[in-house]
Amino acid sequence: MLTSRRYIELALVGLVIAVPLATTIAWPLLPAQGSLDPPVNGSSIYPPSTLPLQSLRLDPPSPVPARFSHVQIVDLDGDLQPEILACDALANRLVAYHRTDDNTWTEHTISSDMATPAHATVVDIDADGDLDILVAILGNAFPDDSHVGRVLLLERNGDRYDRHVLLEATRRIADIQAGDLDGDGDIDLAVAEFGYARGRILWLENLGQRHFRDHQLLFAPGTINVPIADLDNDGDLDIVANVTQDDEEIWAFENLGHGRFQKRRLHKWLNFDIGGSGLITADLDQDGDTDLLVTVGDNLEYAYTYPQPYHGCFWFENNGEWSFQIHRISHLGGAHAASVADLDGDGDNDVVLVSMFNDWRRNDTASLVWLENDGQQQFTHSQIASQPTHLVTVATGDLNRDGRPDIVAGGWHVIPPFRRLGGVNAWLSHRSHDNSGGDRK
Amino acid sequence: MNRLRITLLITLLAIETVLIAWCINKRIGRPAPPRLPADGMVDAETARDFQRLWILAENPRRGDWLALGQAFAVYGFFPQADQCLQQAIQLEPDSANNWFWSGLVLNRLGQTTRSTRQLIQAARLDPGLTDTCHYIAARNHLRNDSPELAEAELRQIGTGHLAGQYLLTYLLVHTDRPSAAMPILDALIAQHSDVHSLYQLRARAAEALGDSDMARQDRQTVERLPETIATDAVADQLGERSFEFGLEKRIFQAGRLNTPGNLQAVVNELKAILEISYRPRVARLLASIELQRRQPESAVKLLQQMTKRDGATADSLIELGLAMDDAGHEPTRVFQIFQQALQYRLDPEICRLMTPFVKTQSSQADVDRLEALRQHAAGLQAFSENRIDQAVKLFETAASTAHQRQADSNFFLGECLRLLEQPHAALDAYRRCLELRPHHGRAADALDRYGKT
Repeated sequence: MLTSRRYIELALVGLVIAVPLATTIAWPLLPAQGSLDPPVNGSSIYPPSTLPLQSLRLDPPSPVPARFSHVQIVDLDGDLQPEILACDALANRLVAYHRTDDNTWTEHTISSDMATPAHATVVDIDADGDLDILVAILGNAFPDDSHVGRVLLLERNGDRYDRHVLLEATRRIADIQAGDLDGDGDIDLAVAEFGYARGRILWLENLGQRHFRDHQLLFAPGTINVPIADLDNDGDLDIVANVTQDDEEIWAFENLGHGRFQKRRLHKWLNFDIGGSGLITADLDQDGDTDLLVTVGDNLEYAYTYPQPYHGCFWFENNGEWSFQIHRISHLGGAHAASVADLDGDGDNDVVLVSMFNDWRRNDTASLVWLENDGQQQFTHSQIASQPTHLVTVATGDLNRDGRPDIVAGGWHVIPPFRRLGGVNAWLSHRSHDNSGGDRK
Repeated sequence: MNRLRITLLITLLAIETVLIAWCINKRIGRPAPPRLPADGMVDAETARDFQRLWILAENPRRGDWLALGQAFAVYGFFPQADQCLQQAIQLEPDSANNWFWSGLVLNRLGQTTRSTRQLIQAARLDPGLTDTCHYIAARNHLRNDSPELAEAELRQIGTGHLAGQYLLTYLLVHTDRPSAAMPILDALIAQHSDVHSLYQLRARAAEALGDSDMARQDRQTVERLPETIATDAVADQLGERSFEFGLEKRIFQAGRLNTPGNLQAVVNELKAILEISYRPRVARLLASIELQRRQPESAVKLLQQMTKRDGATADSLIELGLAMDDAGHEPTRVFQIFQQALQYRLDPEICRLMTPFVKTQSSQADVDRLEALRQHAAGLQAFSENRIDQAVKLFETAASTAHQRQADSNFFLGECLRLLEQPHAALDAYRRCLELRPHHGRAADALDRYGKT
């Protein structure tokens, strides 16, 4: 007979053996509950904007991710009611969005069957009193060095637009701007032949009868914008260009008169990866000359993108005599376009930026940002929207005729994640939250 | 005696329990692999692969944390990839790959200083990675506005690393030292005469040195060279690994199954992949197999869906037109598709495909014009690949049709003849171009420039 002590002894022996045995068996099943260092967060997130804006999607919702390359606010038909003109690079068409009397918006296709329209410029090119449209035809949204680009004119004749090719057999065309460049009274064109590995900056001399002679200003691939403005205040129009491929440079072409231009490199970035994405002209500091706003944030060479610390927006302050002082005014990740307007009605110019490549896997990252100017060109960021994502184009103007600027932006969804999709979105100001100057300076 | 034994056993059990508790605590405290930021971030197939990699990393063997980090990286979850790779380095500090991938991921996160540190360590552990590491480190320094440090990295790269040598000369040219760049560029061009970026950069250097003739000559050469330099080292490294994880791996494996005897299995697999997540290139591959299997209507549907979802390109429209033709669609509709394709790319193949339709429906003049366009398009191809003798013949044939669109054929014929050192014939060609299109800027410029000499 075993005594109780013997039982205890055996039980203890059993436990001494069983505990490590059970532990060994359970060992692989023990869950990992420790934590790693917190992840790096390089995304751009700002405090919410206080602007009274109401978001509205204008294009019909679609399960297919949209690709709008350019939007602008313009009164196309002269009825004092501005429309939104948009280049739909997926459906290969130019569309306008009209506001109806009951405050809804309708979509109207102006022209279709155009291979990847990149940019539209509205101008009365034939001086017949109505507005024509110049369309920069990229030909292919993806890298392509072949001759697929065109300069297309949609000539307005009554209620219809007649189509003319002004320049063909070029590489991909990213931008066209219009102005009298040679001082002969007609409208000439500045053209960005983006290409891919090869490209050019051209100006097209208007010879009348829709004939244009092309002149090369610079041989460089990757030019995305060629705005025209009088940069040196001498009364004629100069050309600025944003070169973004092999070199990352801002060039100006000073108009010397009679179709002669002197090229001037205004800035170069040695950062091979900076990703020039946009250039506009505006008198940001309201000192009477034309400044430049340059966005950097393109990341299209990657299958998956991430915002970078060097992305953002630069203000090129025009100090006269072709001298520009460069100020960084934003670090917005993936910044792709800018627009200037006095959004808070305090008398100075604010900036609106959109991002194509913020960290869209988070729900709180900024796609539309307001840079509020304190009047001294010091800017405070606030976040207007985090959706839709992948915004590449932005414009400001008074769409609802309430005397305050509204915003419209376009989405280009080609790189995952395909979340919070949108095509053409507007943010309309509404007076109900107007505090009648309470926070106005 | 019994009491002593019991006391000893209790003591042993207590020690054992404390030790095991300590071990279990340690074990449970091991870091849990990071998860995706939210559900639905990846397709079901990729999610399954992540699940597999998480289980492995919870009880890691050598390389498991690296594999999870790589999977996060190639699917663009860079913060999570960084966490995994830090852990991989902690567990296996002797692995060059851990340091290298950490360097890549930190580069993508914009953490350039940390990235460079990791890359230097990777190069120390595996000399085979040295050039690539120095190259990415140089790009990191440029991102930090430190060109001097970038140059120091680039000076350590072997002369056989084309992208590194190119970046070095790029820096020299853009920091006002074009004369220092010239000999390196000359040597690179001697070795890589078909790379246009080198000529483009030499043109910039020549311009800076006041040699505008050389600059112009190099820029003209650029137009005729096909090759470029792969400068996006990080994107390339990430891209090369994408086929090892998730749905990308399954797509890659499906492509490898594609043999004539195995078409049905491949079709089933590609359809299953499209059900999981739509990928244009999978739809395109499936359409081409459907055409091989004489299922053109199925190919038409796939290609129509693809052009709608992903936008039309010349290639997708050519395939769509061919599929519609095979499926017996209305010839006028097929012709329209090819016409649309021609808008996207001036391509001799598209012209050839359009010819039978034009022959049956249009005049001889239209047929001749299309043939001239075909010759012109083929001429452009030959010109861009530096096959000048062939280009001359093609442009001559194209230019024989006195249609205004053939003004360009005469211009390019002039360019070819000038390169073949036949200046008089070249000038004649430029003049013919201007007769057809008086506002042809490049022909007028060429006539201005070469007509005087």
